[in-house]
Amino acid sequence: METPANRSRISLNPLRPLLRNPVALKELRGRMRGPRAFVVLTCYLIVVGGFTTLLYIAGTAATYNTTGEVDGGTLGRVLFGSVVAIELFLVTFITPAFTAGSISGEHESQTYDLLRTTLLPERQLVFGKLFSALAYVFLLLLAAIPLQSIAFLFGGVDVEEIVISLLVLLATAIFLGNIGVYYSAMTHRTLRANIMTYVTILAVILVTTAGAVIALAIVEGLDPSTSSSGSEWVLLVARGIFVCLNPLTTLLSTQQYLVNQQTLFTFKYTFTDGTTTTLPSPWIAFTIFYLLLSVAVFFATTRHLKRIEG
Amino acid sequence: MATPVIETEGLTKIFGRLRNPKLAVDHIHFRVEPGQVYGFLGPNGAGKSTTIRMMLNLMHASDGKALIFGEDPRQKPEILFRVGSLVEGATFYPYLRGWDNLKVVGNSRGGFDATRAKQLLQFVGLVGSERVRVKAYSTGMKQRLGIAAALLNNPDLVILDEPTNGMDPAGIREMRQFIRDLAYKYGKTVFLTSHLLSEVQQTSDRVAIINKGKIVVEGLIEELLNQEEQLEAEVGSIEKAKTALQERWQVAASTVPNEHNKLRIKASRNDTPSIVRRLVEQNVDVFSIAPVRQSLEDYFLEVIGDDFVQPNSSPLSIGGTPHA
Repeated sequence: METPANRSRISLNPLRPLLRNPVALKELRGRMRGPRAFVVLTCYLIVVGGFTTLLYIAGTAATYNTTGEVDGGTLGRVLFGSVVAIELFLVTFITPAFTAGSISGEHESQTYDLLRTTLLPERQLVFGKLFSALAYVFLLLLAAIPLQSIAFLFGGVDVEEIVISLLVLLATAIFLGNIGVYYSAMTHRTLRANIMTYVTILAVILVTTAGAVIALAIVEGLDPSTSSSGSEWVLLVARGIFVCLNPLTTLLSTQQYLVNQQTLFTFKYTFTDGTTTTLPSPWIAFTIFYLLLSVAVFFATTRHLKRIEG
Repeated sequence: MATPVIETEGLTKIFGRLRNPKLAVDHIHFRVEPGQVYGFLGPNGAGKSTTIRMMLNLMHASDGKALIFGEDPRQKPEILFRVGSLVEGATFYPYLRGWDNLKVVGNSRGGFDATRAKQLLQFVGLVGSERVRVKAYSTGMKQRLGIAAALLNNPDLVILDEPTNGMDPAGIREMRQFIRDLAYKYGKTVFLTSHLLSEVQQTSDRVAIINKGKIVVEGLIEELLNQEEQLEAEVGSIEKAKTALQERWQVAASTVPNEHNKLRIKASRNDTPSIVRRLVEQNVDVFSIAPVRQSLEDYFLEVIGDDFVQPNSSPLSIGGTPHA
């Protein structure tokens, strides 16, 4: 006889644990109610689609080759890169907006005590909030894949590049979502949580971009006769760190290595003295680093929520 | 001796320790025995909700402890699975239906029992409204849903913080019945805070009156209110009556608003003929005289003094209960 216990054992639905999270269920219902979710999705696709159209028009004019024909490969790469950049920009600004009010909003609507008195574990609360917000961001990213795929019509872009871009965008969204939930747990005011989240994100973007540009300029300006391989290693690592901390520079350098060296997971670096070394591709370092950081922020958030009001 | 359901030992809360510290709860001690309906009374800001928040581990105690079923929830939070609570008003997710709100609460507690939820909706009189979004609920309906949510896990202790807040007289009467049923029909222990004193008087077995963070008085209602007999007289002139009687008896004007020609006399029922004779001799018109049982409100006002401001006066919350 089938009992609730063995029914749950034989269930093959991998989403079952997620859908049993009461907070995730409630949030998903709340998020998808009314026209708001569909309006945001439509506006997002209009913005990405509009930019893609403009880029196509501008790109066809700019990528004529010597025979007077459009250079399909270059146009495809430009279109693909631009769509990903726009998606990255939108994800950077949309994700915190969904998560920064997640827990502070419970305080503001005075429902936080309702959840706390049920003895709901903190990790379930944080996971539910994060999952529901990220599920929507993932929906936005998936919805834009057809626009990314337009690049296939012109060539110059592989399926691997789309997968890598999606991974980097997902890792970015997961990290930014975690930052939003963390600040939301730190304060009872959504406005304050939003400000703290965006300031942190802006600081990360500015510092990593500036660091990558400076390190690159120094590496480019190295004089082979005077520089030692030791100092070049230090600069290479510093540049690598800054590049891999920023999603845009990560994507740009990954694409550069893919085009120049045709390698997906590693790239070769040639020192000024002629020796070479093999290093992991920036997207791998970026994804691993931000996923690990996300886990750390997740646990910091649950730890903070465990603290009882003073 | 059975383990008390709630026992506080020097429970204290100080807000703002460094700058301008405010003593919200001051070393309070009380015990709630199994099966009791315990009223926790006090004016606004007296420390009632702070005490409940500390009991439910929603707030740190600055000193002392609150034991629930003999366990400290700070060390053993799972003891709170035996507690159902309605804290500082019933707040729910307005965009979800009543039924879905119950599901959120049930699942957050580890599992939603639809059969029990249906029984509870029947118990609180919300059958038919469970498919309506909570934003369309009246305050009374939300409070009733709050009670249903508090009872979902079949708790042994039910903590209700101002359960009649914002309810109309009919709703208050229903709530009184719910509370009575919880204790006397279903054997739950109920810890109740309210500023509607007549409600507490009619539902509770034992009360504690808290003022400025301190428990001023604590005991069985019957014992607190039956300490002395009183008579209430309706007379033509309060001043003349006072002058006529105060040689022999202690007299005071009634504390009931809009009853300016009534006075309370600390005397037994057997003194009635003497009092009437005395008033007639002194040419004071007597319209009625009857023994009265001191109401909890009278007692509360006597204990709290001028600190109490009735925040939500309703016909049910004021007035003594004369016994003919």
